[in-house]
Amino acid sequence: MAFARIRGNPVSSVSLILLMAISSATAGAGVATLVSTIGATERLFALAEAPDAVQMHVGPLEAASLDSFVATHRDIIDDHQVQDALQLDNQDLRVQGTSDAARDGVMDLLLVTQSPRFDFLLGPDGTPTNVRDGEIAVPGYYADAYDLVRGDPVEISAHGDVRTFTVADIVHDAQMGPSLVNSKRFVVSEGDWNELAEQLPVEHIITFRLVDDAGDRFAEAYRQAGLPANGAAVDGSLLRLIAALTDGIVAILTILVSIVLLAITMLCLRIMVLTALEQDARRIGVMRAIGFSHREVSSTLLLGYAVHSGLAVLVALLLVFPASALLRGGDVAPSVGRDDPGNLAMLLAVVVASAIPTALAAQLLRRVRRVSPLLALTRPGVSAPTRRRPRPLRWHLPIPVGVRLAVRGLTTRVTAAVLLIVMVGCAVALGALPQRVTQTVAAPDFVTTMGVGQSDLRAFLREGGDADAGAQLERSLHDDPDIDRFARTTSFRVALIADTRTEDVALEVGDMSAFPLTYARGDAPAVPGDIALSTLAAEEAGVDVGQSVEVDSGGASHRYRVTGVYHDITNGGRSGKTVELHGDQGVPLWQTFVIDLRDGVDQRSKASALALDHPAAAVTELDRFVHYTLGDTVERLKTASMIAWVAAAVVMLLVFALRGRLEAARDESDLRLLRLLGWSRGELRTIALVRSVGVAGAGLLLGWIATESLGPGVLGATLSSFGGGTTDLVAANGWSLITGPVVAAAAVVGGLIASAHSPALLNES
Amino acid sequence: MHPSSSLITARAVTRRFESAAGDFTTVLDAIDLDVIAGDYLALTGPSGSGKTTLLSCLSGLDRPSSGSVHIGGDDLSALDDRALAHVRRTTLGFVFQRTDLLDELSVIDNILLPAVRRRGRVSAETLAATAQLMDRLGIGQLGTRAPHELSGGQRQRVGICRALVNRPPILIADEPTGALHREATDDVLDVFDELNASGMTIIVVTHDPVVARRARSRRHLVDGRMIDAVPA
Repeated sequence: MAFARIRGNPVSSVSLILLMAISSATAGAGVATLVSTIGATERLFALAEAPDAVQMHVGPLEAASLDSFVATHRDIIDDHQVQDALQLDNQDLRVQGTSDAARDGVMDLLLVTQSPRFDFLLGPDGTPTNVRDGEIAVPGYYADAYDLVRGDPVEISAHGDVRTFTVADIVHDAQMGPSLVNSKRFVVSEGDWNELAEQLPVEHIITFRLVDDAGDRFAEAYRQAGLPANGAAVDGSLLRLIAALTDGIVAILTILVSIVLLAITMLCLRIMVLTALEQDARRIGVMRAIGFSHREVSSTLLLGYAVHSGLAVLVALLLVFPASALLRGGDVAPSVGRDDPGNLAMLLAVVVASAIPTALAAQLLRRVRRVSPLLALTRPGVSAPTRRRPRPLRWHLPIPVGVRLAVRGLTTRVTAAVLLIVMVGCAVALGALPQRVTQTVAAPDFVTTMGVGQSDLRAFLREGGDADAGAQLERSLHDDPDIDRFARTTSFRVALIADTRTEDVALEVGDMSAFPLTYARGDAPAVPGDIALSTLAAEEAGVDVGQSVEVDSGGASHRYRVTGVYHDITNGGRSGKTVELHGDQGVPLWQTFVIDLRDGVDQRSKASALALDHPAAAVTELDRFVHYTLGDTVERLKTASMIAWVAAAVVMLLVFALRGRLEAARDESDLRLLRLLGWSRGELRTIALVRSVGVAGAGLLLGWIATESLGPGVLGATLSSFGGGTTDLVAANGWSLITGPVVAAAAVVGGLIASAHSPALLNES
Repeated sequence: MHPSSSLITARAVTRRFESAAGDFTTVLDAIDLDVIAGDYLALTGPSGSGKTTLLSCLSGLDRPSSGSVHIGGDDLSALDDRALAHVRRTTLGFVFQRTDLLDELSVIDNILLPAVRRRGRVSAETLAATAQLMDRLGIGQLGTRAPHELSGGQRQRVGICRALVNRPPILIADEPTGALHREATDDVLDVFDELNASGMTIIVVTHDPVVARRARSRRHLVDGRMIDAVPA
């Protein structure tokens, strides 16, 4: 009977099956991405024995003082090691015949040997990679960027001496793998490393394995010991967050999409079951009259929906694998020798998501007991007839009768109309919201919500190099006619003193007004004595806007008033900004120049020219910085939002075609009557069109309101991984302007498809 | 229109239906019929004789398998859906044994719907004439009711009012009094008489000899063929 039903109404059945399949497949893909992201990050960190604390350091390093520090803190430190990394300029790396100069100032290249005890760089089999002389293991980020595979050549030039290495492995790096981390480690053999070390400068990566929950105590002890700290400090929790973020955003977005799709499917199924019941009321009456119990009738009808669910599972299984493959990516853990838990979760999600509509159908079919055999045969219907009388039409108003009938049809079945409007609203938001979030993340301004001011160029001078380099660059920028304006800041390592503990932060000192950040709360520091803190720094110091915090610099402490809190993914997430640093300025870390060019000046060539004139400075165009750090995330967000958009449009087309067909079948006698009274088929289609346009228009408005009001929340929830908050969406432009209308238009087209067939004009007497 | 000219002309109208097995059943077999303007014709015959099918072909609701039907000079087979809708709207009024009403409209709005469809508004004369006709048929007090509140007989009378609201030149009625008690039947037939007297052409299909006797002319069908022509 179930199959007979599918054969009897193939359009409706196929639409329902596809609808269930799309929502199930999306749920499966989202769950798979999330599970594999979480699982892969944990597995990667376990296999690599990732460090719990990292301190980068440029300059002399005394191993004895570190060893002594560790020896006196055995209660919190399990192990430590110093990895010496060779700094390689981007233009000195040639891959596939292309120089990596494009990433100059964005990605720091480090040549290392395999770590001895922990913080391993893993090969595809999950074990620490080892390379022989003449071989190199490249990070996943670079393998993706240049389509590198084993056996490909990579050229490294050290002071004009070009060496060719053969790619031996693609490595997974728990510490520096994600694109959001601006350093990448390449593994070479000890022999090659020693030879290159004669020509390349060294940077130390000091890593620690700590006992559980000792992160805070360690940071405090390290600071007090005055150990080397000329570079960024990162703790393990931030490493994990950054590693999970790229995939996490996509997974969370996909799951949100699948929840909305499932909600739409349920709403659609509700309408469909009830409409089909109305249509079947006479048949149900006959079955009841010849002795079937309502339970037997319900079971028979439910079997039909179960068959639809079963077929939907099969279709969903075909869709879910390519969908999840599109959404997954990045530097995930090697999965050799273990089953991917994401696949199991994906299959489970597909089956559960397909079963939910059947459960809903079972619930709705309980209405069959309302159908008495006598009533069903004499006046078929399962809905309790409305007791209200229709309001009289105001025929004197100059409104076309077709529009009147369309509106009256909607207002008579107001619950169904509201459900449809909500469905369209959900679908419009589903199509538009991910696009807007993607567009916001991809916008140049977005970096201002991440601790980086908006400018054309950034120049970065690490302390420890040429002491006069900063002043030279400043003079050069001053005299350069291509430069519109610039600001110079210097960062110092200072300690924020809270009630219970002290934490080190990188405090940026200088004019903060020229290139402002977007502050989560409060404003930029304006006068000496003001300070703005990153979210993590403020949280750990236990202060917020309006409160004061004690800052220790070079042994003397001063109180500052907190004027603002901002999100920061740079500097290990812990930083501050002030106009002037009181007292001894302590240890300077680096200088940053933020530069705006005059109109018409090419950013790329200006950055190259500045880099050439000032070799101590790493000069980056901000667009390039964003492209190479957020680019991968943005690309995958684009894929996810495109899937969401297409799914929303297809679902709307299916829902309206399906619902329209069922409604047309239910209202067949009304349509026949209107034809009898002089309406042509085309005019009946116009009534259906007016109805669809009305519902789609109201849904579009609802979806637009939902997008604008929910958007900042969704983006904020994503950013809250960094301790962030709500962030305004950028104004809609390009694709995002048409996503909502296209989804609404798909609903109208679905309605038109459904109204293509109108009943024959036969006298039923 | 001249009273003696032929308003509806059917020539060799044959209607066959194909069964699921692929067999053909001939329901109407080469029917010739002329209905002159102002006629009041009763089509009678046993169940399954083809009365309703003939009425459907004569009014353009169904297309003959072969043969032709003309209304006022228009060959119905040559008209597209839009033109046929125009004919139904301007020339014909229909009354069937089972009256369908739009549930979302009140009784009076259901009755006025064809008038609004035809002219885009409801004139004062139409409103007055409708109110008078509703009173005449005993449903004058039901205008604000919802269709589901009506009995079968009341629905039937609402259907008759709706069919007449535009004063169509031709009234097509299939068992118009099937759901009515005798007193209501007489009221309806009195109205038909008056309408016919004022020039309206009426074709009625009926089993009821009382209804058939009120017609001016009568055709009897058996097994899809016209077997006699009995004057009323």
